[in-house]
Amino acid sequence: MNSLTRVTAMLGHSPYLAIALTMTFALLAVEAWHVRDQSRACPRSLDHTGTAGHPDET
Amino acid sequence: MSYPNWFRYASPRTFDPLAARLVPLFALAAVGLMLAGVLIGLIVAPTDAQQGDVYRIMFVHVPAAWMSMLIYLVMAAYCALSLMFNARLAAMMARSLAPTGALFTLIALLSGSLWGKPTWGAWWVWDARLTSELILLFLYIGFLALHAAIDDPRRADRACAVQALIGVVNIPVIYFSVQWWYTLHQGPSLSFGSGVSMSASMVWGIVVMTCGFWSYAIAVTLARVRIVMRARRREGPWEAGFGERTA
Repeated sequence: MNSLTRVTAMLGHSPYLAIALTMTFALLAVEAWHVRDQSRACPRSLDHTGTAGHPDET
Repeated sequence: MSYPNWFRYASPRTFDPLAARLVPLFALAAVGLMLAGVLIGLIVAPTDAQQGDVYRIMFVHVPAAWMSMLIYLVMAAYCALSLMFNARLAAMMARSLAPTGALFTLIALLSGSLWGKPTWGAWWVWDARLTSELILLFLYIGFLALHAAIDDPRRADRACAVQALIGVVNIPVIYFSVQWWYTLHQGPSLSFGSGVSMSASMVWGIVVMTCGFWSYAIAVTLARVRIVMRARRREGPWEAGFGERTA
């Protein structure tokens, strides 16, 4: 509890630090959320449009 | 005596289920390590005598800057593999790494500005380290823009691979800029051979956060490469049916 109060006070007194931490983790969260959304949307669309071609993978 | 088949996971078909299993593991590791890094940085690490608490920006700035360079090197290595062996998965990995690399470069630049304002008195200076890091951001954006501009994914992969390999010359420039030129930016935070000039808790905070960022980058890249594989399977005959073939 004491540590939490100290950290809150520290962030309140150092706006540059608070903004840097918030911005960093917000950007990472936005990217992760975006990829998760795309990942969820992708298999569903494949069900409808997936094609069977001639695989030339070697 | 049987030798392991190192090329087994070079096939999208076998790599896809492996990636699906690894994503949640690395995501959990990323959350745990980043949380630990924040706790060490904000609670355990002592206040700096000269800069006060604002120096704690270092716990996200330094790992983000390292990741921006490391991801570019890994991306360039995948591009080289893609050109040498015509490996589709290597090209897809490079394409999937680029947005995360660009994001870490942006975080390094923005957090550096937020550190620079209270310590240097300026948001930005045309210092060698800052300028070369900005060029790295442009290289990432150029890679993504070039890929988006070419319709044929195979041609786009080749063009982007060449661009990424040319741009790799910028990485040693970023790293050694503080030694080659007189810069406002401070020297390396941790340097091999010359010892460490900060307390152990500060070093651990940076190392743990770097591991967290690395785990995050792996998780996001693996999730994205699965999306890219599915998109190409849908769009191109070359990739079609990778799910039905054996390795």
